[in-house]
Amino acid sequence: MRNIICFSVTAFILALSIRAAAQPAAFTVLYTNSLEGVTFSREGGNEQRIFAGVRLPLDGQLRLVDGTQARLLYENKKINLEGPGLYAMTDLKRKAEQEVSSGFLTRFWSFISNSIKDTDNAEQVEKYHRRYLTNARAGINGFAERNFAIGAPTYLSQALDHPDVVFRWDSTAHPQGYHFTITPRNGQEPVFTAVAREEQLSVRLDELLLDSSQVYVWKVTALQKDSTMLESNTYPFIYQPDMDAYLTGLKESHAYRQLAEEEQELYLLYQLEEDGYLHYAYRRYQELSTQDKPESGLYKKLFATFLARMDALEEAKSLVK
Amino acid sequence: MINRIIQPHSIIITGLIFLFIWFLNLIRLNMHYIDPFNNGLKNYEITDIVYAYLAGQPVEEEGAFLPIVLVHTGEPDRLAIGQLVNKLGEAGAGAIGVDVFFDGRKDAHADSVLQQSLRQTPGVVLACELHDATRSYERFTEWVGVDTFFSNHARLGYVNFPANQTKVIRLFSPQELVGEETMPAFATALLQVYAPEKAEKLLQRKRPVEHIHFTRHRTDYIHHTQENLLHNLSLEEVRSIVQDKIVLVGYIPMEGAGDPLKDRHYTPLNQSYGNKAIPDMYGLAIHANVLTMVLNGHYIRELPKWLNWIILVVFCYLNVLLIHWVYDDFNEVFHGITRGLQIVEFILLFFLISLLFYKFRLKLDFGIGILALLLAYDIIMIYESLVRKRIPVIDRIPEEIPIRRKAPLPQQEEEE
Repeated sequence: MRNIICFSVTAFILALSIRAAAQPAAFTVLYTNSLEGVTFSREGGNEQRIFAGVRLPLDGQLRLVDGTQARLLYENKKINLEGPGLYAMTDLKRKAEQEVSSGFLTRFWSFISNSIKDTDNAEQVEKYHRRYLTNARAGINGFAERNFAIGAPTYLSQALDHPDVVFRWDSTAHPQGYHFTITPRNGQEPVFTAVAREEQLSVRLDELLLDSSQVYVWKVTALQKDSTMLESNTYPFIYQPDMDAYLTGLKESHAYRQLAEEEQELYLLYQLEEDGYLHYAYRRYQELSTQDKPESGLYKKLFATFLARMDALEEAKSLVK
Repeated sequence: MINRIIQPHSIIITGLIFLFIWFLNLIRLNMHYIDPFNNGLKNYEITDIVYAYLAGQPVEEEGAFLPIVLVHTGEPDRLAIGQLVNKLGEAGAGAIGVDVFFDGRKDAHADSVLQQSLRQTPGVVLACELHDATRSYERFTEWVGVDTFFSNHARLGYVNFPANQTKVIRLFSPQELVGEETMPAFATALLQVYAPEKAEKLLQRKRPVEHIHFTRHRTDYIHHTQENLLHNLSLEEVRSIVQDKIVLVGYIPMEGAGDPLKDRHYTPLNQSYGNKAIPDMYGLAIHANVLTMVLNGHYIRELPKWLNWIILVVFCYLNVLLIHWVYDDFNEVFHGITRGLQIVEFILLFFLISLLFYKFRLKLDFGIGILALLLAYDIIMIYESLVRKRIPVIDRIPEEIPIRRKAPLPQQEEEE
């Protein structure tokens, strides 16, 4: 009898611990706009791409590169995410739980009170037409990219891992100097501003106390003599100083281990670019192409094509020369 | 007490109200072109507001997950759809609904691939269209939209929905007679493959049409593109998405992409519940909503017509009694009290109808009740100031029904 009780208790504890370790899937991915650039990883684990229909556990983090979107479902609450960004699943869970959906009575009251407020009839629209002029618009946005007077290489966007980053941009007239700012993407107040006389500025990102889950944008403007302003595009980035987990995961992946040593380096470079670690890839190319090794010529050529893809044509040309 | 509740004039007024509503109904039937109110409101139901504004997030049954996956085909290409059906079949999809018409034969190679995939994959339902109802509207003479080259190797389901010229889709008919045979709707056919017991339950209800309980937009379902499933995901990955699920294949782009008017329709979820709005739901999402409703067993309940009418008449009569009493006893403030009463009652009624629909999916057809409430004030005024004064016979009717009193008992007399 005693043995049976002991066995039952052990089995119960074991079942509980297995259940706890199994971590049931909590999130369901409803939609991603791209199969590339939306990845999930557990701590110390490999990054795996995710797509609609996949269920995700609570322990881990989701990474979206620039331009990607994902929609998750957690306990009937939809969560829309946009890249670039690194999202801990526990944070998403907390946000979803904090979101209080209004009850039927609140929605009913809101509908009734809005009905009382929104009583505008056609005569009112005619009489006070300017008040209503912004409610409707006939036309579409053009599909062309806006031309910015100041260009910059795109490897200075997405994930920046180095504590000291040299931001660069194209030269233009700058009688008052260049005005450089770093601002949270969803915020107004810059976290860093500086005036630079040259076309580059070294910034210690580790001293800015940046939040690794927050997206920031950097931008350069140059005030002209005629008071017009030349400006660059805004370049979004996240500051992610810890690359170890990512690199370990990548190097432990089946695809990586199957390759020969020289192929592994190429795969690493390719994957870094695919996953948005552009600045790391840039530094790695730089390092490999300046080594005193026979294959550095190949890396130099690869580096030049990488720079061309990163809108850094002048830098690519100077490398090839 | 009884003579206070049963008052002859109030009964006559109630009769007049319903007569007037019947008369308005005649106008709707025969002269709708001079009836702008009706024209504006004929595609509106109170429950639309519940769908559009008062319904919260869709709630899953505990532990259950909705087994529906939507796949956007883009411009439908037969070859690609054939390959997709093959892959979905291999990945173990529970049922595959292809909401694309394959009318006639186009490219021999593509057609053969599609036919082959239909032959190899069980549980595929193709969309077709019902055509030519008989004069008595009891049955249809034929279905169209699919070449027999394909239809011979798959189940068919029609994708027609009953709607008036405003094209608001609220109903679906589970099955129809085509010639001598019964044909299921697209959703019914899918259910017959995926969950035959649920399909049987649906058909056992023996309703010619069911109200669709709309609960979800397309963004609430798992959504993929044909390109993803076909070329970018491995078979294992596709299996993890579609195994034992219903896969609906058709035109359903995500927001900001594709043609916003192609196969898009008006539903009660449209926040602009009047006319002249942009259609709000793709056809595939409507099928998905029908499937969701049947799979969850969340049908819309309706009261029997006779009970609905009893409630309407009682509601109207009680209002007439109340307003009539105000007219008699508070004549000087009659207008103010009555209008206030109407507004309060209207909001309460609207709340009650919305709540019943939201909580219990009980649909009360109370449009006539609201109209009766609005008309009661005017009809009482007309009746009292015009009808009674001009028609002496009516004026001679007593205010209350005289109740005969029994002769006092001798014992009581003695006591007195």
